[in-house]
Amino acid sequence: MLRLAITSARGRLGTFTGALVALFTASVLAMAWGMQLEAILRTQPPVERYAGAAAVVTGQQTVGSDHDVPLSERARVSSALATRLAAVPGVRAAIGDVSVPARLGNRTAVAHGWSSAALTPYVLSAGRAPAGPDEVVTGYPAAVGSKLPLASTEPTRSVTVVGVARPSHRISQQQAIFVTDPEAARLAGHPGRVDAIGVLAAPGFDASRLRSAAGGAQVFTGHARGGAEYPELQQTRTILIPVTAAFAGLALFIAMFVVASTMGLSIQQREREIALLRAVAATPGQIRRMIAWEATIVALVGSAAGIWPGAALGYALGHALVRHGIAPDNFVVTADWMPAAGAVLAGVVTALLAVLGASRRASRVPPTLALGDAAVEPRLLGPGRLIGGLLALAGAVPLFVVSTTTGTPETAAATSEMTAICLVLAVGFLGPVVAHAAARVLAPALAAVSPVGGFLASANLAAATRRFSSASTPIVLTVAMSCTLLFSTTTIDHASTKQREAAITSQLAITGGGPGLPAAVLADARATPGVRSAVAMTSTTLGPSLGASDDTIPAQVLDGDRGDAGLDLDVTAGSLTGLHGNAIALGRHRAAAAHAHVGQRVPVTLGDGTHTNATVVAIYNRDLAFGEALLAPELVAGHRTTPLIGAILIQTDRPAATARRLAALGSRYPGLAVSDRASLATATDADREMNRWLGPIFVAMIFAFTSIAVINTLTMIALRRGRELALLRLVGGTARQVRSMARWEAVLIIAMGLGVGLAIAATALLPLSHALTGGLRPYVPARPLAAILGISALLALVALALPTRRALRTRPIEAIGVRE
Amino acid sequence: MFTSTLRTRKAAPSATAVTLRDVRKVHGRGEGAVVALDGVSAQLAPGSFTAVMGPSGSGKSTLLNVAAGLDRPTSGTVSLGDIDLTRLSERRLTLLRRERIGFVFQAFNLLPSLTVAQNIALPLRLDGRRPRRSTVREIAARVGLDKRLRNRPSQLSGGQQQRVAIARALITRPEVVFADEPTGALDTHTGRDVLELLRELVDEDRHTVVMVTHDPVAAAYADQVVMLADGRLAGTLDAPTVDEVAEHLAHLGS
Repeated sequence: MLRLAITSARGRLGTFTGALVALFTASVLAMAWGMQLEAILRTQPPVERYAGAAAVVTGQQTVGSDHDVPLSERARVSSALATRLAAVPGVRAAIGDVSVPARLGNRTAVAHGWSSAALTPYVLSAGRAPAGPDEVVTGYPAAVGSKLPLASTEPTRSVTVVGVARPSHRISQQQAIFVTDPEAARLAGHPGRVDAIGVLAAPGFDASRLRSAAGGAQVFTGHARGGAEYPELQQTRTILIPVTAAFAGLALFIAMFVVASTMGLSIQQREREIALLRAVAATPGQIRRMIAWEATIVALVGSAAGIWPGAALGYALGHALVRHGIAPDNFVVTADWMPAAGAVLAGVVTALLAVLGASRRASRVPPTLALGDAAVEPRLLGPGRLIGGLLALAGAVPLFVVSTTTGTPETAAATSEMTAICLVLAVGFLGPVVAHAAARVLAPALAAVSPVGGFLASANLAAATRRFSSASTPIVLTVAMSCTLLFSTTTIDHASTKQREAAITSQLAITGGGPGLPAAVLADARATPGVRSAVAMTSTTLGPSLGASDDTIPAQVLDGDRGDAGLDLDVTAGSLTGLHGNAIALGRHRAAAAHAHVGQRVPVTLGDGTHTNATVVAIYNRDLAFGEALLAPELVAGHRTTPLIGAILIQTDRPAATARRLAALGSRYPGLAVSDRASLATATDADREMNRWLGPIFVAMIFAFTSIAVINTLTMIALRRGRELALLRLVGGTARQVRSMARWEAVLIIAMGLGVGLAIAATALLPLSHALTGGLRPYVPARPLAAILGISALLALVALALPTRRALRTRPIEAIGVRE
Repeated sequence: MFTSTLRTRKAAPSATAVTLRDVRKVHGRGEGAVVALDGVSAQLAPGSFTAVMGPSGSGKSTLLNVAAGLDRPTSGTVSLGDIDLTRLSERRLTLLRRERIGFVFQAFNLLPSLTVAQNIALPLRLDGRRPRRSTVREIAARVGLDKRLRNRPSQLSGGQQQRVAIARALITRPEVVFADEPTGALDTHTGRDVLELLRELVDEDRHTVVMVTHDPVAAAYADQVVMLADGRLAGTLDAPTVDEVAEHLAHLGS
């Protein structure tokens, strides 16, 4: 059977082209995303800073019932724990370490206390250890005795380099500088707590004994110590793993859909040949094996061809992920054998699964296949289609309900996409009914407009409902999915930008480069003449609480001297002037989810996982603008990774003069910039950045696949109709009339595809828009919409027109004779 | 309604319905060329029923296709009435076929998506005319199918489908009806019904029928039998009987 399959596959490469291209594309994508997945799973952050420590102890960086919600702020441990750990037998020393963002001279660095130099270890190669608050030791070559400006969490001041320390091995991830331990603790701004405790081993060191002494803290040993150095990697993992899995999975799913339909059609076309094989005594099992081998060969060829371009795409993707800040800088992808083998294997399995149904049907072809006309499908809907369609519709209903009631953009976007998927599936199953209905409505009009072409096209639509629905389903899929994916992002973006524009009433904004601005800038800004008010806004998150169980909550720390001057968040209850001490303000959706009202004390999990209570002082409407909660600076002090602030909103009567004066602060705060408020209105967070960047990639992927499906399905259908077209000409139809019929059919298929696709996208997007903005107008930019509709229509038109043209080139009597 | 038909009818009161003069048809070129027809001449009178017979490969189907304007001869002329088909463009030929020639195929060849009535009326529709319901019903009644007008071909038996095909061939009131093995896919009984129908078309409606068959019983319904062998005429029989045809055929085959 293998030999027969090879000969057969070689002889009819044409009919396998669709499947081959689909599997090639699937392999390219599986390889590219597989490389990312492998890199995420394999990338252990290198152990550098803590290489000299036998173990590193930190707070719990992941929370939630399954320990799968990564906290965005560093979870710290008490410095008292270091004393306890130092007493454990086998421990030589336990040293608390803090990391403070800093800038020494022109170099971005991380400041630590000098005692933590032993954790690497760094050894003095020149000079001495720091002894006073104005002395530093650099972890890289520098001139001892030089005076350099040090910018950190305070205004810039001058310090003296008193020593140079050399690490025992190469450190690639950070430039370290060392100050005295008290100075490091002061700059870090969280007295009594440290980022990590490094444990130096003595003879008899035992990690399990350390673990029991550490209590609720996390103990890292061996390679895992890198995780303590880079807790942000955990966050990257939790973001990237589902994204990669979704991409690779969707690629394979659509590939299966496409391969199933292409192989299915090619087998249908060969029914007579298969009947012949059966007639010369091939068993049904042999037919099944032949088809399985064919699928395997096609899959091997297609997948293997996709490896190299897949690797190229994978590298580009890896770089792009880093460039867009979605993956950390140390994220390196390699074209390993694992993703390659995975891509080929996935291709073969996909192809085999795809031909499962087709081969079963093929082996049932009776040896005495009648050579008559292809019969019109007797039934509109089989029970399988009906059940599948109703199930898909049933699945769409609760999703639709959720997306109409939710207030969080992420939930609304996710449920609207799922709604679209369910509806596309439903249309796939119930397509014939849609086609039948369309024929009923359109037939009289069409026959009136075009008595020959239009009449024949609508008659075909009414009779061959299944053919028409399978032709328009790929178009429905393309239009519905790309519109929903793209325009849910644009709708969310548009809504939040609108809210930001409305919310920011200040004239100027101060922003800093890099990690942020020292908190002292706020006081300096307030003291600047011409400034009426200054409000600091800093992005952070809350841990799972306030009605959110598996997610962190986007929030802002709001530090205003006179409440919310310069901000209009549309407060509906309470007032933001009270946002001091243990106070919190909630967006309306978050307040509803937490069942909270003004004056109530609510339990809150801070960004580093600390549980506390806060009083609700206000509830506001514009929760898309700056997050779902506003926090008093006192509430989160010491619970953020750095004490730096994000941006300052300035109200002033004379913007130009004030801006000049504020810009002069730059001499004390390197990186400080003064801009107008517009720059803040379009600022976004990493999550949205990712959606905005991945959305078009997703759409491109859908298009790559569905265009294969569209072209393949339509070409196959058109080729199969060669006989029918020839017959029309034999009974007196001119080539022009036949072309007119084909054109009208194309119009019907495209109209159904675009219409149903848009209807599904609207069903998915309207509740999203309603939930976010209260209005029923999703933000749909005209150009991408026109591109999606135009390209889909064009694809279908070309795919339908070319085979018809070819069919008309042969003389009708030959065309009709070929299959006799 | 029938203005177009009447116009063409007026143009054709000729002594013969179909005339073939020295028709040659070669399939392919060079080494692999096959001579299907090798200088065939024939004249068929209006209102006659002619059967074309011959062993496999004798060129009888080619003769029918060439005579009906579906295929062009390599040399020689084919005339319908006094119009030389070999001089017409593909488009003119299609239009002429639509108005003046009916064709019945072995494998019925009905459009599966159209109803019986729509299939019968198709040639009129292709001609840009709106088929009148009474005309369709009349023709359908002629072939005994006026009760099945709203059915689709897949719901009919083989004999019924062939009768739909004949009705479709008749709707334009063509001068000649060509039939290629019209009973080939039917059992003996339904085959006889179809042949009787063709006979009636000639006797009662003065149609001209040309039929290719390999069945002596079918040929016996014709007024004359034209025998073909190796692409050449191999004799004719007038008012044939089944035995005469069978004997003649056996002679050709040997």
